[in-house]
Amino acid sequence: MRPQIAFAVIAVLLVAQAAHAQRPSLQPPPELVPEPRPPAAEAPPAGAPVTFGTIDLGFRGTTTSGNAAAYERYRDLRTGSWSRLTFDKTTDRYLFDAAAQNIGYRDQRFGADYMGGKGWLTGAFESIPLNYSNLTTTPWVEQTPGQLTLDVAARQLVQAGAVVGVPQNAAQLNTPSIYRAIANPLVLESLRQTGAFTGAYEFSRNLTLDGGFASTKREGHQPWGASFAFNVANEVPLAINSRTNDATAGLEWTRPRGMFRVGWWGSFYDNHINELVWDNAFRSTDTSPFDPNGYSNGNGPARGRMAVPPDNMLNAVNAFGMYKLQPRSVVNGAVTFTRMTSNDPLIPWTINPVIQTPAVFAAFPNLVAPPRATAEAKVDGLNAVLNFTARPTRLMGVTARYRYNNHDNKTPLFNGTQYVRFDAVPVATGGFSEQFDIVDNFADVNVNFNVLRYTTLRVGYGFDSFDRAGRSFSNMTDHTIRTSIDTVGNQWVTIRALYEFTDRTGSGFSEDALEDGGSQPGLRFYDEADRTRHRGTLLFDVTPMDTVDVTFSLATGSDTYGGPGHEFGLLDSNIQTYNIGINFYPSNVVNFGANYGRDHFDSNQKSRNANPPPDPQFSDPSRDWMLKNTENVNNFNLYADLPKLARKTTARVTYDLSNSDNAFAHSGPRILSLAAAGQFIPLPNVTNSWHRLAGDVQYFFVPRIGVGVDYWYERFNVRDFNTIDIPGQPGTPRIDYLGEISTGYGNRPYRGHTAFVRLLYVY
Amino acid sequence: MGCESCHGPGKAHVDAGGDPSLIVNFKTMRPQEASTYCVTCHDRGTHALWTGSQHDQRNVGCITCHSVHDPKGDHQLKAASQMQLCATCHQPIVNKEQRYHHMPVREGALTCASCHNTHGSQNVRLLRVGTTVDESCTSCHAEKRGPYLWEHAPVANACITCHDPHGTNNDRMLVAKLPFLCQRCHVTSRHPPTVYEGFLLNNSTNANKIVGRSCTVCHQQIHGSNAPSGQFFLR
Repeated sequence: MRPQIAFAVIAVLLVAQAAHAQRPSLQPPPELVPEPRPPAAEAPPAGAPVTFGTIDLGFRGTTTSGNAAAYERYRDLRTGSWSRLTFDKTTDRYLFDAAAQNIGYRDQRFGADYMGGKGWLTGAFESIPLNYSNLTTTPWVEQTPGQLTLDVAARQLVQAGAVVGVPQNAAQLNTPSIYRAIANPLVLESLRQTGAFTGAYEFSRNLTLDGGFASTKREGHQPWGASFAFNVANEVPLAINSRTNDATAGLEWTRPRGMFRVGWWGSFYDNHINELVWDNAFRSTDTSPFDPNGYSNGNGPARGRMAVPPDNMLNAVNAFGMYKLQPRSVVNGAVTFTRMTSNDPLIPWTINPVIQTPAVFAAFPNLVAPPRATAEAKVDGLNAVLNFTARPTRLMGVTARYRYNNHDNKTPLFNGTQYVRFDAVPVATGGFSEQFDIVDNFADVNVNFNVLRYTTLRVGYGFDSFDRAGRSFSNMTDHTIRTSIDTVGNQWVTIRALYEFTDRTGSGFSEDALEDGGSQPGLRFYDEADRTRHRGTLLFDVTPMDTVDVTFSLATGSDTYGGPGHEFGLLDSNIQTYNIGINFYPSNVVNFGANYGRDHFDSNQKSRNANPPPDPQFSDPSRDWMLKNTENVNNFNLYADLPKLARKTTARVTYDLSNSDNAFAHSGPRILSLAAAGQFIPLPNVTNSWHRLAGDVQYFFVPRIGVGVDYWYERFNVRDFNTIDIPGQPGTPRIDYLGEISTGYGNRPYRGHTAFVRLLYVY
Repeated sequence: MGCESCHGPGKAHVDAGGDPSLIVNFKTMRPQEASTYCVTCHDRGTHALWTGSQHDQRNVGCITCHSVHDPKGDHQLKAASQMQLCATCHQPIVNKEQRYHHMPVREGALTCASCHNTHGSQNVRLLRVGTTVDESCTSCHAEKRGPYLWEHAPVANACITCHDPHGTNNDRMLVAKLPFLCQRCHVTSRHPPTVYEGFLLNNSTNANKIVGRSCTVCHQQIHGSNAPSGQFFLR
């Protein structure tokens, strides 16, 4: 049977007469307001200047329930006006277009492009919101960005033990924290606004100068951890106020046989907030003298201070060349030198005045002042790429690539042997900073054989060697073999298949490096452990007739970690995913289709729950535990496109579904012993489901003027053990949970409805 | 430009009444072969690395994605959007955009080409910017670029060790849920390898390592810190 199928497929390939490229998916773009689509567009006279555009104005109404911020996420769907304007003009001398969308809202966009004469110029302004949550609350008050205070009277009561502040046991959960009562609503959101232009000017046919500039401003607040002890963890709103300026410049010289380019990219990040200082929810005064166990029992300082992302700078210069050899061969290569620096002033070791005393300094002399005043952080990068492609005959081709990358960390070592933990306790158990240098040598060769008219068979080998400093393996090397077959361009069938096998082997293993970090000697980090990887993909697209196509795709991958002495860490990770889709194009009145996909992920990891040596727990296998994580995701999409629903009317409907079931199964002797002691409860699966329905109907009174009505509906349900609600009030965040005062940020359900009524003018 | 710029001399074709075999006919070519005509002009700028690129090797040609005569979207794409077009071959990746935590691609604020140059790249994975994965990601997420006084080894290596930029159902697009992702590497002693399960979740202050931000409620500077006391990313 199998040979017959194979012969049938080959026969189909051989008899194909006309070639069509693979059809793209017609699934409509999601969550975008469809552009005006008049049923019959007028063709402009050939050669004449063409001006066209759209005026799309209207009203939008939105209602939500639940976590509305997650419905809007990167959009601004507030009830109000809707706008989209486009203009496009083409003449024999230039091309110009401009567009604006959702003017006046947080996701507004403007853009314009000009091309003509000896160059082109493009400019854009884009605003992208990031809506985290509008259900969150916080008792902290922002005095200035980066300075958060907490009600002193409440903290005094908490310190005195008169009220519940940060719940310390299950019994205290029955009494609302004093902070819950004084928490204020907190809308967690940020806004990224970018203004940019790029352009190019041709000095001659062979010489072009190009450049660009972009300035990105970010403002808002994000949830941020700010803790004082194992039992006093906080989540606060961290102010965001930064600007990144990026500039590029390039000079390109081209000839018919080749080209050469030199370029520069500079990126400059400026954070207008220099530190975060916040009050402790567990105390109103500094514990004096300091409690050596303050980092675990909460007897720490009255407030804390931490660094925030520092200003930084990147400069990269690049040279690129390409030359076309004969016959049908190309060689190209590039060299890039990159320098990244960060040199902000360092904050002190601690804000805690109890530690900044002569008595403490006598025992911890390094804590008098940091060893240097600024970060002096610097990384140099050198990257080189050389590609060679030869197609001496139409039957075969060779592609070879060599890539070198050197990430050279030049930051002077920083002595953190003595440091202050959680602003609470001076300790001498730290160490020096590490320079994680990486040198990557990559070589890859592939040979293509055009075995049939539309079919390319490829075999390849890849070598990737990483030399790394500061890791447990000083080197890891990947050997990869692959083969792929691609049947493309045939009218009836497209087949793409790939199989790849990679063997990773480490060398220069240092058990000391692991033990210095307190790790189990049997641990292997999964980004450097010995590993065998299998990956396969298959895409099968059949177009039995012009009106139907069916696509099936399969992807599978497995990573198995092993190697001498490997006992702990990630043991394996696997993925299988398949999709099947069908599109019908029965007439110019209706197109419709559907796609179903299922993704399966699973992984196994192993650990040991132990105290450090010399406690015998550290080497006691009865304290081992395993975790199997399994996630299944279903995806479904359905669409119907009705370009001629009725006279002068077009319509489009889409429905999308994604749901997930994520399971966490612990096992092993440690789990059995915990269960026997009544101290183990399996975590429930984390599940979610997301539905979206979108519809668009446009009716044109006359060829250029019409109205549009759009409707979006979204519903998201989620059950997640990491998101805590007030008992009996599902969807209402609880900020006072065990050992934590949070903002209540988490994964919560929502529903949203948005409707548009639009007046459309096409010119 | 005229028809003959791409299709070659057309006199015989016209004289024969439109015989398609008498001109350069891209429909009868392998995509890779058809591309050789396109790159005679489109061989500079962002197209300079096309020949030999990952797509070129897989017999994806210019005409696989672009239609000169009948485009459906910008840049003469055969589909109305990049996401639709890329889904033709990369449906499992596009599906990830439907996950709860995702980049703003499905909202239209970014496209596949915001990060990838499908025509070839000096970087890995056809990334448009930089020479490493990190340089590409931090070209937008510049606050995480560093370099820092205290660095986290996998961050210096690649953001994708912990994040899936196409989308996941885990917070912050992590490849696995916290605290279990951190526990894949932090097999040490005391609190990192503790069994975080339902009993602690309901009865202990260790619940603060399971709920909300999990490990990063304390180790919030996981991308790196410039605080002198920040070597464990607490400050």
